[in-house]
Amino acid sequence: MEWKKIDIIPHTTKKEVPIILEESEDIVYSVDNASIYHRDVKTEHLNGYVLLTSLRVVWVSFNNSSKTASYALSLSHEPVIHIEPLQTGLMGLNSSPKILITLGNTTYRLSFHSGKRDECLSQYKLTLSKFKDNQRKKLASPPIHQYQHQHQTTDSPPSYQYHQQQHQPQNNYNPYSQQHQQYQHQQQQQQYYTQPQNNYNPYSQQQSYNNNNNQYYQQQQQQQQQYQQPLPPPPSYPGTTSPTNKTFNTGIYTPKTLGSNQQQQEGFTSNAGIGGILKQMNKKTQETDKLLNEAFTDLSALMDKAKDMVTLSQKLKLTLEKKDQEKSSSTSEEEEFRTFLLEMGIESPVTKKTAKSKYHQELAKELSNWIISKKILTKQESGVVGKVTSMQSGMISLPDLYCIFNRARGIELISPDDLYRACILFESLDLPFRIRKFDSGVLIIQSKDENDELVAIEILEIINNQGPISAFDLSKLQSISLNLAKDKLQASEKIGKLCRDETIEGIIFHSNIFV
Amino acid sequence: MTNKEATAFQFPVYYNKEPFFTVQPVLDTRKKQFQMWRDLILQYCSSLKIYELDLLESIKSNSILFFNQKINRRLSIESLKLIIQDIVDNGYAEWLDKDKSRVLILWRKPEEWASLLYKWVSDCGLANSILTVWEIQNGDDSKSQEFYQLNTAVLMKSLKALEKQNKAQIFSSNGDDSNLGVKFFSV
Repeated sequence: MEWKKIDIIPHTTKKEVPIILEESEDIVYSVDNASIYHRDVKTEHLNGYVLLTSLRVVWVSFNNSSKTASYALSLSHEPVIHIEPLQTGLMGLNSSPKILITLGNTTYRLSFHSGKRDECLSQYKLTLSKFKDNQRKKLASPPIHQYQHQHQTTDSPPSYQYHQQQHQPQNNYNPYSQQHQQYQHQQQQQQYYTQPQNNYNPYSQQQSYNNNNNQYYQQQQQQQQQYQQPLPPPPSYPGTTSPTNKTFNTGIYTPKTLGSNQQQQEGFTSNAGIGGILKQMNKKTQETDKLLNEAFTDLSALMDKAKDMVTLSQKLKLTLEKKDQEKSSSTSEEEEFRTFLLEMGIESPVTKKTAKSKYHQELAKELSNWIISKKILTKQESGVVGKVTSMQSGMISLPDLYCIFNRARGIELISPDDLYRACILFESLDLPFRIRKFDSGVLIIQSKDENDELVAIEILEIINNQGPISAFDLSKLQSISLNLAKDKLQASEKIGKLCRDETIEGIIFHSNIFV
Repeated sequence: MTNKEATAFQFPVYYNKEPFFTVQPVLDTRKKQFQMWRDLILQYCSSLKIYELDLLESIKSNSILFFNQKINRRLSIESLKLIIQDIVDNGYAEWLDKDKSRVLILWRKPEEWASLLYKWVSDCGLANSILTVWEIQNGDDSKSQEFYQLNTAVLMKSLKALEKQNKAQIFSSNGDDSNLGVKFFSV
């Protein structure tokens, strides 16, 4: 435990300094009713009196009944790495404000049950930084220098001024530091005031114990104390050393600026104001970025796996077919599954990279094979008239073909233009399909043997069975697009197989009554 | 003409087909359709002795000829005009005005009437004699003939056709059209 038990001066009350101070040690701040926590666990050292000196923090326990000091613990500034304010509990409620003291290997907390945490913290910080500065100086400069240094001070004005002189140049950049010092001096003044009243001066006493070789210095100190005694009371003291308007500012301004300054030092961020909003927006953007990245990672992973999936579906298809051969009947579930598999993929789609200048030719061949193997055209007739299905009649509009073909490719999608160019090549490549443009401008792919006569026969068969039909009926019956149905009907009408009955409800096609 | 009178007329089967009332866009089909319409209109007019048609009036009055109540289909005025124009083009009708709103239906062409007339004149031994137009239309001798109460305009066209064939000569006694006479020549 970094807290060390130290000797106390027996029978001292809270109004006196209960410990023996070291040479050049000043009491900076004191606060009552503070407890020590080790990490986040309460220790048995509760509700004591905290003294902040220039060298250490002293915690003194007072006997409840006699109101005198019973024991004291000391924590040197040396191992302290960092201190910060700490709020525990929900929104800091139901919990005393604390200071978190971080040491090399552990942390302590000082819990302030009667407030004054912030003042103590700021004093503690300042003292700590001074202490560290002094240490660095000590390391840098030889002992002789230190002596001279001390010697110099003997000639100089009272120690508080020496203090100021020493630190002013360093702290000039910080407008608040001066105020700190003033405040600190005020504290010192208070001590100087209290000491004579008690007829006890631990400061001088300590010096007489430890600093015998510097009698002169000690005398000076005492002189200084005497000199200071008649000074005005502490509250007015800062006013006498600084411009009046500054004093005015000090009173109001100090606590606030201390607070904000502190927050900046600690890296605490506020979510308020424009800065806060900007920060939040940045945070959101970052989150979105992250999310998108993750999403696309998934997508590329899917694309990597696409080929495997296709292979898998082929395998499953083969298994199903084998099963089918074994027992001729297949359940509707299996049928559904097969159609699902059919919709999946082309194993190694032709790409611009693989086919280069022959891209469109290769694409046309692939498309043709795919149409044949997946029975794309005849599939269109499903569920209409059994006899017609076997006739291999059927057509598919180019947009529909584009959709299902690209879906089958999965990755390596083609453009509509590529599809069109490939389809145009059907005839020159002697493939069994033809592209055809209806009068309405709709492009379709149909079998090379397919002609309007066959289409008409198919439609007439429907009409014979179900009576006159509209384009909408036909599109529903053959599960084709409305445009395609319309074009089919008009093509059949054109060759004189159908005639129309135009009403306000639309056009209904009949078999040609005029022939 | 009322629809009651028309009930006697036996409509053809195609009259009950819905597409019959829609002008077909395909040319070949339309040709056949118009032919069917021509036959129907001429037969209808012939059986009911109708010589003149007011197109708009026929449509408006829901003439049974152009409105089939049973299948709730009617011919539009535009379609009717197209069909009548087709009949005119085939010589079985003539427009009576420039607006093409009224039409003279010639369910027999003037030449056909002319030969009928001449045959009747020859049969009755009236050649080289003079007959008035009113006598031809309403005379006792022509009562059994098809041209009995023939529309004057149609009759005049037929007589003029005979005149061209030098089989008759039209002349007026008073110099006006009210009292016309025809002399038939034997050839």
